[in-house]
Amino acid sequence: MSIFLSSNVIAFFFIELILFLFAIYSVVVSINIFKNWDFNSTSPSQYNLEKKSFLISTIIYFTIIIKSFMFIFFASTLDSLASIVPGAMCAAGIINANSYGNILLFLKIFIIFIFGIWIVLNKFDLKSTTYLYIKKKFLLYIIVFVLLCVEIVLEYLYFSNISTKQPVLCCSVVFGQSSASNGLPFNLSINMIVAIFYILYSLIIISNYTKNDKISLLSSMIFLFVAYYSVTYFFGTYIYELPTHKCPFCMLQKEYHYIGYFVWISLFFGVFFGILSSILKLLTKRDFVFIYKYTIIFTSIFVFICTYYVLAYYIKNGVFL
Amino acid sequence: MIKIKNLNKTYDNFQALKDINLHIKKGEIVVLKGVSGSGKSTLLSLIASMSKPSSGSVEVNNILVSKLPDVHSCKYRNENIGYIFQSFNLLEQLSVADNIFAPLVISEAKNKQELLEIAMKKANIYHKKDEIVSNLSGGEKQRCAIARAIVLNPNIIIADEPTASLDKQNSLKFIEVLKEFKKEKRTVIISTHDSIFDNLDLVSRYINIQDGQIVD
Amino acid sequence: MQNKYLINFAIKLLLKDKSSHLFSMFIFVFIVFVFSSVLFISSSIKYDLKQAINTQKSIIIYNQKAGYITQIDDSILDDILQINGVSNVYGKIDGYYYFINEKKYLHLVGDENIEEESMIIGNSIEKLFNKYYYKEFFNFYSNGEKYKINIQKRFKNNSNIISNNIILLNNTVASEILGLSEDEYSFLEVEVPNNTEIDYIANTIQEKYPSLIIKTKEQSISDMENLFYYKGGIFMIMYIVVLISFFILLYKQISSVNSWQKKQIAILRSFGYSINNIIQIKFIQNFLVAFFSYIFAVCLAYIFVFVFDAPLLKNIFIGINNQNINFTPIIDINILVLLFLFTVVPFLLSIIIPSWKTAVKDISESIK
Repeated sequence: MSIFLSSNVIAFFFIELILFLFAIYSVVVSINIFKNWDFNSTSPSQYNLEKKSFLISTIIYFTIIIKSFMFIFFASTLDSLASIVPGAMCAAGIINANSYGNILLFLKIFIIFIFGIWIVLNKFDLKSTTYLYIKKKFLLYIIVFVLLCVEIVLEYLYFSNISTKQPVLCCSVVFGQSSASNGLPFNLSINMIVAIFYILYSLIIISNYTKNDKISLLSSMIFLFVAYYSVTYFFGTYIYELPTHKCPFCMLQKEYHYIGYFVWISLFFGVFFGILSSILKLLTKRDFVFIYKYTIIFTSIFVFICTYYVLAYYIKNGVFL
Repeated sequence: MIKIKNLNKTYDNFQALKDINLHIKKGEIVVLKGVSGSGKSTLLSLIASMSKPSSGSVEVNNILVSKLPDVHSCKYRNENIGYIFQSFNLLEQLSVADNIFAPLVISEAKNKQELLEIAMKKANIYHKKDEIVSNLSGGEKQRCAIARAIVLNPNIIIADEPTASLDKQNSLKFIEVLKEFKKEKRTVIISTHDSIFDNLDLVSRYINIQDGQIVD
Repeated sequence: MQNKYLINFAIKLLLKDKSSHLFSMFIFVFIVFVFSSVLFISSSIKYDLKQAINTQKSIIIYNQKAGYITQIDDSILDDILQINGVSNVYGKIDGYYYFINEKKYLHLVGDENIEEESMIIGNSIEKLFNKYYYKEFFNFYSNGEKYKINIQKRFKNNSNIISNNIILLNNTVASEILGLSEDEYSFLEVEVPNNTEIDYIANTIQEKYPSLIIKTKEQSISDMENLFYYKGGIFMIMYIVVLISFFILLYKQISSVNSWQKKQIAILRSFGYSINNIIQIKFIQNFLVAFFSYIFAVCLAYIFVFVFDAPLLKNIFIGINNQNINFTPIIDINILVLLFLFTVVPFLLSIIIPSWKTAVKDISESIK
């Protein structure tokens, strides 16, 4: 039975295809704008381009909102597929069902990230009276479009290669102690990773408080990496209250009150804003103070949720796992 | 205050405005005269930044409004221009208050309710605020249109054939309103072929437009 | 904030212009209603089947001959009991009795707790028996023997897809009626207390008896879900055609703004509403229409399926045998999200371009 007959997968592809059609239309116009834009011209074609830029900006805005929502839906679709793919107990098994899964996941996150930059750039472009960033904005979109093409191909390849007959690995094999090697990078111990986690968090707070975008960029990028491992191998175990349950996806399920969504979304935004200040400075040659504030807020929410589970367990049971 | 330089506007193959050069000072009341199709309405819409010129420029209070992006030209129009139309162009299904409030919806003004009340009282239409516009008389509709035009205290009032849909009595009432505008030192540009505007003291000057050009 | 006023204003304009949205709203409600009803029915049945499967023991063993399932004898019972991890093995009697008057098969299930001359019947069976005036008992005929069985009780009121059609009989009696000999069973149920050992034990049994069909509980659930995905999937794909037609219709409808609406927008633009503001107004209006239609249609579907038991529509999923079914009310947030994504989101996407078109029209031209 083809995986494409799952209702979630059908709805997913239906929306993705509609969005892709809109994306194609948008990129054609974006290329036109990028090539022919001349603010000082008063010709009808320039005024036409100005009108079209509204349409494309609206479409892109819409696409971003829906894509963000679709990403969460993607996660829950993978979860729902766990019941028809043998061996899978949560999204971890499904994502690892073939080699396309992990690349697709990271690409999706990366696309949302770039779209986030586009939103901020668009906001400042609208504020200026001479469409200061319009060409950069649409060039960025053209780059995103290429990523969108790769994404839709990957989506097809990924879903069509999920077999409902062949069993997949579940998270305890993928992440856990049953695998031969230590899952952590550079052979670090869990304690070291957690220590680096908190050190980086402090560095992020300090760099954003002092408005140092370069340190913020560096520490956020490393933090993303470290946070992923910390949550999977340490904090997650306190959410599941089981030292052997190491999985970044199971926490998205109902039984854990969907806390996974809060954890990963707050991390995403924290890292996004942490990196954004530097990138925007590069693109617009200006410093945007509000970004530092958001970095601190979102990163703190993320760290708070993670720490809460550890402390709650300790307070309840008197010991650590 | 309003500086128009070498303004041209072409629709398809028809040239509506040819090389207009005009300078209107703050507080002036200017009347544009000319037959239908002479380009008066086009000139007014360009001053209000409702359309873009084919060439040339329109500068208002040192802002080049003819080159503003839509978001900014709309903000400019919202805050600086009060437009009174020939057939009032009110939202017939809404109440008087809702009509006058409409420009306030998207403005950045903080005291919107206050501004609404002031405008309604000034235009003497407060007593009809909950009445649906389609039930109003011609004179009342005009007062509603005037209230809407002045609700954000714009310094430029543009009136395109303001008395065309009115009887003599109400037309004369409009002249009274003009006197008020003059007292408030607002810049007013009126386009009309109504003779009641001829030889008025309060009018600073008359400009004749013919075939898209200013003639003396 | 500015947005609060804009939303308010958009709603005022919407309420004064109900007629132009009514048609699309009506069709949209209908579309969402049909789709949600189908989803509700399907998920309710799935839930019932899952509940039924969950009461099953961990492993079921069937015998097969020439690809058909046939009776299994108890010779392997002891062997299976010896396997480490197996706590018990049960022989089950389960089959179909041909009721010649109605030309129907009745589902008989053996139960050790029922007395020899008694049976418990489901709703559909009760109605069937009443039709032939069997109010207190029923006569089964098998192998030249007549078995008079008294109706002990009926299943409670809310009978689901499983209990509807069942007759529970005493094990021995059921076995005789179905023509099984003393040492024969319809299938064997193996109880394995430790979940993690189920697959291993199932494999062990299969290796020992390669001709038998071994089904774990997980596999049964998976098989059942697969069937549902298949039916549900086909339906959805066909429904996409309906959806696309609706959205093209919507697009055309919103594009063809009449001159009054064009003027309205031009008037708003003349006192400072930007293109974005107009698009926002159109979006707010259409979002409210779509969202309230969605809520209304889902509520209607809920009442239709779970209060009125979905007349007509249920025949897509259920055979004639199950006409008296009550659907177990199951609302899953996943269904609601799926519905929203499949209907409201494309609705909103289809109004972007028409809204923009009306917003960018030349002000002076439209205002005349």
